[in-house]
Amino acid sequence: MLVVWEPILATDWRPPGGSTLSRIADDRVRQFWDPKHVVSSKLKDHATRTSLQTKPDCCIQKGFYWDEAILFPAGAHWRDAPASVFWNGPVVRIVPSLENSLSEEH
Amino acid sequence: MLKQGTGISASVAAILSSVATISCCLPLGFAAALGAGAASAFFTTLRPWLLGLSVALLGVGFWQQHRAKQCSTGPHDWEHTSVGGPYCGVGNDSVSAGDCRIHRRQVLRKMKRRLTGVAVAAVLALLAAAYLWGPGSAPRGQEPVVTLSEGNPAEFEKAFDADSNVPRLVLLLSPT
Repeated sequence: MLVVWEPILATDWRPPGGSTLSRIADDRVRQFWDPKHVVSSKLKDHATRTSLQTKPDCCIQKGFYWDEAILFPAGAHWRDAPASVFWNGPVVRIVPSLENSLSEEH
Repeated sequence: MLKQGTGISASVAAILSSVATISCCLPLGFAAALGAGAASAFFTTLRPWLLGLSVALLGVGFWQQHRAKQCSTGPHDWEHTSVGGPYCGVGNDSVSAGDCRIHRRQVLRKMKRRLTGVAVAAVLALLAAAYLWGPGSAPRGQEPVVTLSEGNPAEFEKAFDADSNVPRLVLLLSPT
């Protein structure tokens, strides 16, 4: 799992601190701080280029996607602008549907 | 003839005694706090410890400053002459050597206060910079947090492609 922290809200004036990062403590996770919205911009680009791409119902602020979970299938490579099998938010509301998609992928 | 061990311990004792004497009058705590704060900029894994140490050393610096007042040989000298008083220098015989000593001591004290202020401000600036700049430490077992930039998206790509035989989940979150 890749967690990308990006400044979206007015209160995001500093990078995530230790306590914020420790909310996702699983050691299979890799965390990133993305102050320039590099990943979000790339995902937006992927979404416009891929017709098979699932589209999120919500969560664009300042022109960037945020508070979203995006699931990519096995075999996907970032450079190929892969289509996601699940993409939606806000994270707190989409957990059941994300779990469904995950179990379908496994 | 002195034994070698006695000689070494006497030297060590002399060094310690000198350090103790110097530490009474020089703001070594502030200097060390500044050093620890500066080191935290380079040693990211030790940063929380070094920042904590620099705060503790600031405390030591203030304690030293408080104690340094007792280093003055004449405790009542300060009360008699004001800073900016009579000019002390070659060719001015109207001011006594004692008054000149007092004047110089006051000027030095004022300078030391200014230096202390600068050191404290520098340490606080370092602490603020460390707080605002880089992300915190990743939880134990995870790889360090990477800051992405337009020129450095490769780290994310590498991490994404690392486990390409399994599904991958990407979360986009805001720190607050």
